[in-house]
Amino acid sequence: MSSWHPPTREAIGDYRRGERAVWLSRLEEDPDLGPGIGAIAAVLASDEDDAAMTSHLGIAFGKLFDGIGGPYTVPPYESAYCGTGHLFQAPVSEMKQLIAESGLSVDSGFAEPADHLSIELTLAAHLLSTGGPQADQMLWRLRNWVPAFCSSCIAADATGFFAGAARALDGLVAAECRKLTTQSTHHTEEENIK
Amino acid sequence: MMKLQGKELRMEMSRRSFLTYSAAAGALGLVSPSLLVKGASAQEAMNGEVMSGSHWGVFNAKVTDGRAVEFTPWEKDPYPSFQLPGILDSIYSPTRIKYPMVRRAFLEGGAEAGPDSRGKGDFVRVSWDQALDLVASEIKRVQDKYGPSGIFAGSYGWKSPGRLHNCQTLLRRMMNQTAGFVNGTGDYSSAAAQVIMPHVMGTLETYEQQTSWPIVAENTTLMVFWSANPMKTNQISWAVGDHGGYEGLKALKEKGTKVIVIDPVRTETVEYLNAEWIAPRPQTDVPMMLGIAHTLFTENLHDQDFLDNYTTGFDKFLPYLTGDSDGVAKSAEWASEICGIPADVIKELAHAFAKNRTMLAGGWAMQRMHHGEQAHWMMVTLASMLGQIGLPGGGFGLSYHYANGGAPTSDGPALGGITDGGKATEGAAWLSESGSASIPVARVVDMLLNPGGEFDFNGTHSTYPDVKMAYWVGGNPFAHHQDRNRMIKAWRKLETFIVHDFQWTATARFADIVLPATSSYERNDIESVGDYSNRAFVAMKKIVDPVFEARNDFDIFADIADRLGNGDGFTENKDEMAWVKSLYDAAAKQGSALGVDMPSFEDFWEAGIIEFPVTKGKDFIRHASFREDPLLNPLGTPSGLIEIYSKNIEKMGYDDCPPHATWMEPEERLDGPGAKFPLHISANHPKARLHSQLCGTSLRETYAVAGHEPCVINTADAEARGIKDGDVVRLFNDRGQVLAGAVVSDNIMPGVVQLQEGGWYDPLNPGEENTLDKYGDANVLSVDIGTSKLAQGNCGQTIIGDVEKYTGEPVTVTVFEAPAEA
Repeated sequence: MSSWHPPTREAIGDYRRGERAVWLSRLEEDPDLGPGIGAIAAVLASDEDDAAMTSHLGIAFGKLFDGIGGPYTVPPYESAYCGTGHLFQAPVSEMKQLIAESGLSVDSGFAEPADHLSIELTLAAHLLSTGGPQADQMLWRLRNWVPAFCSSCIAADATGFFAGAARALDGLVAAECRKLTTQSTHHTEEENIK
Repeated sequence: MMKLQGKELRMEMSRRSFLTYSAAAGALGLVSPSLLVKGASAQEAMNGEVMSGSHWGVFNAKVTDGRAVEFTPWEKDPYPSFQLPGILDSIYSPTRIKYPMVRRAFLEGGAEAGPDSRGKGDFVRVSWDQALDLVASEIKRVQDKYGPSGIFAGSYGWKSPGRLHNCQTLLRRMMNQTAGFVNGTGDYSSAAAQVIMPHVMGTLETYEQQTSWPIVAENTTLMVFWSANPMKTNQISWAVGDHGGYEGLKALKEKGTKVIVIDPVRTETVEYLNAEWIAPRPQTDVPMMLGIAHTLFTENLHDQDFLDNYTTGFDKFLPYLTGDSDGVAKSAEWASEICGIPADVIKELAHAFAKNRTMLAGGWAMQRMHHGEQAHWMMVTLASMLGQIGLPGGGFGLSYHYANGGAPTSDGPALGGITDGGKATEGAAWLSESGSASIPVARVVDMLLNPGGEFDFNGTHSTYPDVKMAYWVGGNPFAHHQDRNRMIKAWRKLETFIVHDFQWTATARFADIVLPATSSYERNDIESVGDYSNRAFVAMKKIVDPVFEARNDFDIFADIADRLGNGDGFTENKDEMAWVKSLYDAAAKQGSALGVDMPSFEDFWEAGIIEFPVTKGKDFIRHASFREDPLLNPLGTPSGLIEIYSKNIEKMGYDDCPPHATWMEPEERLDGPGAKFPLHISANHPKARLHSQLCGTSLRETYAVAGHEPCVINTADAEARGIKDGDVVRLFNDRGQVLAGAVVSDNIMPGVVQLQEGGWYDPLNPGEENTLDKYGDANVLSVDIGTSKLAQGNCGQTIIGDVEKYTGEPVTVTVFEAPAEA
């Protein structure tokens, strides 16, 4: 099983003409996500047919995230953006711990370390949805490395598609963390008044 | 375990925009509720220390929560390699192959889809079952359609150590149970020497124990490293590195033995031993040796008694040396014109060699060039004239720089390995005879370009098979093979190219089917420590669980064999640990017969290592028994003597390999006749990796210049071209072009630039003819011809070209540096 893969031909069609096309156009109106989503939309609007675009984006995905790009790979793992830059460093253990504390574990069919971007985002979504006390911690955790990942992705992606996704992701995480700061400040002021 | 339901998750998303947006991220493949399941992980993470081994030596791995966090050398390693951290990095490199992948066009259209998108990175992830079904069906399809010679499985390269998980043997073991395959003979390291030496000495010489270092340290008064840099290359071994050679080098240093290094580069060995550095033009070792030999003869410094009693054919060589046969005396003056070393120095060398107990330690670069057979043949001829072969500390040795030759051999038993089912031969394990046909391994591109074409090899005359599929494991031919652009053209001939590896090498990127293999640190195995010393056996214990979807080659091949109906024959119904135990037990039985005390397998595995005593090995003198009595202990040559003239080779009648050591101009050389370019490019073994291994690790940061492979250039050559230290430069000739980073230095002779081999090929436009290699793969520039009809070895050191400051579009991608605005 996998959720971490380049867009399939069907997905490209859906982004261009299906439900996801509608969704993307709505998201483009959001100030935090707009620029990134706009870049994605521009790529999707090109003359390439679905098959050629699938291949084009598949090549870029492999080079960016799957190691095919050799030294130019942009690893989607927190470990790569701290310490030595190796994969499988302390964030893997920390994430396993966080996941376990939430009564969860990574599906054994997803052969990725626990600090994979998808897992961290999924856990953040889960913690926020369940009101878990570690939701804020998880968001700050993402804020610590996702901007560097996104910057590398934006610099390395020649297609514009993944650079757009990275821009949107960066905007999303930044916006959420701004909210945390505001809420935290507001909360402190309320406490002071009392 | 119950998965979190996406619907359930999304229902609660309304409170926070993140949730809405993360659903959007889900649409982009970033988030999936099904990644997390309810309940704790069933896997128990490991903590502690594990001993294991590698080409770079024995080490202890610290494991925290199932992750390898630090490798430290075994406390008994006398000279640990500084590359050890790179090994750890290689396990956790972002360039790991994570899943089985198939080239999109191949997956959709099969082999008939054509090779056009090969090398462009257009892969689709598939399941293991899908991948293995595809591999098995391709083997069957190609064999059914083209016969047993349709598949080349002579896969060559520096696979990881370990006597069970020897992926190349396992590939041939699997293929031997099918209709057949084409194998490769020889290797890329010492191909010319290993074919000529059996004619001359009756033995390979390159893969055999040398006179032991304690004997050398005690007796040798002049050590000559000719085209050899043991301080650098002894970091690695084919088995697990023992680094015993460094103890010998240290002993030389402490004693103050005179050392001469003959090399175009002022090497680490020159530095460490404070040696005299002599730098002839590359590829002119033979004339330089002839000049020394001529001086020895004309000044009557040669040992006629030795020549009379231990050699044959000097009388036929002599007219060539003196010029009686061709009108050209091979004098020091003649040699000087070719090699660039003053005649006086050549004569002084002759005097010094004759006066001292001299050990000529020959490296392999001198034979990895056009007519490379001649270099070591001439070195043996020279050593024979000096008459010290078989004496303590005298003679010649062709492995002091490789795998720590000369480190004394222990009393331990030999450790066997899983076999490929082919016929075993003398010497190195990879020289076993297997398959339905075989070609000299470095002629693989010739084979693809000339199906049905005729070729000579060591007295045989054959035709190239029409190969349609190649299967490569444990090697990176897109690093080690010459003339990359010619190779890429030839590779288009293949309908199917299958690769197992653990990293996305240049070769893997050119494959149709890529299977992720474990590194040797993710499986259990056993290996000897020291190719020559056999100092110990080490339990190569699994350090971490396989990462991503990597699987062991053994299991991959077993599953393919199973699909082809031969599963039990492949595994012999033994799993990994049963195999490891059986290999140990067979050695222990032999040890018992030798009087060596061996613990049970369980105790060995628990201890992690068993060391063997060294007794007789300290006193080993190569060819001493032959010297003692050449009649009772003859060499394995037709005459039983050292063959300065070979009647066997004479009978072959090759125009490029005469019956005695001879100087013949190579295809191209620095300042040679008709040279089209002004510089020699020295593609020697790299300092901080093993050929191309570890190029994809953080070690690269210790040597890369502006993100490129370094190119060392002499100060005068750099000034003449307006090149400054740190500049990006373009190296080019009529075969290709590569970028590199300039290192301006006087540690290299004028007229020579160094671009170490093994840099990962990184084409600017994959598939486009003569496209620029962005990183610095020296074999884009080297010539792809056989050394001669005799050995058909590769000519990786036959390269001339030019260098200029690069003024084109910048190509360095700085993905690890955040942009300024971040």
